[in-house]
Amino acid sequence: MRDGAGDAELLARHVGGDPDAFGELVERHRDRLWAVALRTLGNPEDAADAVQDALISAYRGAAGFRGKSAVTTWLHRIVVNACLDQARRRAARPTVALADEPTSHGAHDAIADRDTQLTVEAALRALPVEQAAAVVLVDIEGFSVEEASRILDVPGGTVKSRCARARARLAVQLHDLDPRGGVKDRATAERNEAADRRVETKTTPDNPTTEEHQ
Amino acid sequence: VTDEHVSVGELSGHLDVDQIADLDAGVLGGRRARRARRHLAGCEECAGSLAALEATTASLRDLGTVAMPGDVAARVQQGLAAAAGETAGETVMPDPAAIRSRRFAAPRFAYAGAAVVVVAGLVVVSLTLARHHHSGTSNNAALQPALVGTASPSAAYVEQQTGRTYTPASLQQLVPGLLAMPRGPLYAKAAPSATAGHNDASGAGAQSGLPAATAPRAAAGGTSETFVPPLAPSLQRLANSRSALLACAAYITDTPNAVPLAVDFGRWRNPATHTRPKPSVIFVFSDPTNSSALTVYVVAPACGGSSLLDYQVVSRR
Repeated sequence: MRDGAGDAELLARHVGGDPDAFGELVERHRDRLWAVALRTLGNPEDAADAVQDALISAYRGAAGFRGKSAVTTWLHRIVVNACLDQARRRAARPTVALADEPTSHGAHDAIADRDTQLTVEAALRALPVEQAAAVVLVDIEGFSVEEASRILDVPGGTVKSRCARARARLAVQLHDLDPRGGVKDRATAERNEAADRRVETKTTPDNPTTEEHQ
Repeated sequence: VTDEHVSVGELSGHLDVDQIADLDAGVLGGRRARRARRHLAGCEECAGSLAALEATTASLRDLGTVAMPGDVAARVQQGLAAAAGETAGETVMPDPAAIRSRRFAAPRFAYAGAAVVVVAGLVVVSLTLARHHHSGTSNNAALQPALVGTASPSAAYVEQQTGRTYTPASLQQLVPGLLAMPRGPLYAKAAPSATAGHNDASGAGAQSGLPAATAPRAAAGGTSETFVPPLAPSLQRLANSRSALLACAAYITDTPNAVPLAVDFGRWRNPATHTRPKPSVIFVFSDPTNSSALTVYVVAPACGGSSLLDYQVVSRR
């Protein structure tokens, strides 16, 4: 699932002036790049803007690709950066918006699977964009922490930490957990919300406490 | 710094879900990790949280990929073509359009000298073949320097008003048929709007020096109305004005002088978004890069910024 054979060759042909090569490269990877952008940003309009900006910038900047990473890593890096830019520009994404919607735990038939998928997608939309990007790359797209670290241009520990926080938020949402441990009930939820507010004034999203222990 | 964070979890006697996730991801420091593992070993509830985290990661892995929608793919393609144009120093005609329009030279159903042929459910507006002096590789900009964005007034294309509902899946089957239709059984299209439309501002009908669209309509004698679904009001603007239609074609392809091979006024429904069928224009162009393919744009009546509903490349056969 990494570099398809010939990605680097296509990119070289593009740099060398082949008018069709870049289009072919895009054709190969566009669905994955789209999935990353859509799930990172959470809405198709912003994702379309980001992917378009990214691919144009990749088109123009291809000559700067030095082959130190796989072409797919390079493409993902450009797309994810465009997504983060887009999110910051639009401030379109809620930073903390975990809805208290009850989730169903039905039988494992096809319908339940589809419901789960929809719920997972919805829960992803509530993540801060940096966490979403990390968990999309590592857990959904299957990049290693090292690759994700190159794509996101942050240390591996930060990738792990963002993934952990993202999974925690998703698990709370999908499995109706009490974020402070155990099964949620209304009284503790309210108490913990107050605690949350106190804590979050001291831990900014970009500087999770665990990163200080790398 | 992190004392508060830990203490909140400890107040309730359990580990935070965050802490469990950190432990699971291997980012919890040594002492903290040992303490967390000790607690996990003896606490059913926290072990349940860990199981929920693992299930969450599994559901993430199970998410399939999503295909890039046609309209996004079209946007990307156009953006790249524009970037290509800049690179090549073409500022006036930047994109696939520049390439595509070269292929507009000879629409399949444009018969030089033929007036207007009215056939089953469609009107073939076949005016003087504008491009007879327009060789396959000449630059379109040179042909009509004064008409950037409006297309040659005498450009020919097939127009239909089938009113049928297209879907992403059915485009592949239905579009090639659009081009084949002019050879079908004859009957008149009784929509007066279409007649008026092709005599509008561009003066296309008059310019051809041939009878305008009214003649065949009279000849065919109004046998058609049962066959032609009423045109949606929102589509009237484009159906009634040839220049508006061509301006829309130019806009949507981002190509000055873009002339389609065929146009159909119908409806569009994308089951993926559960939308009800809505009035739409289907534009069919030759594919600039592949002679056996057609490019199809599905466009909402407004023909504005977000009007491109779908874009597909379909095989001619």
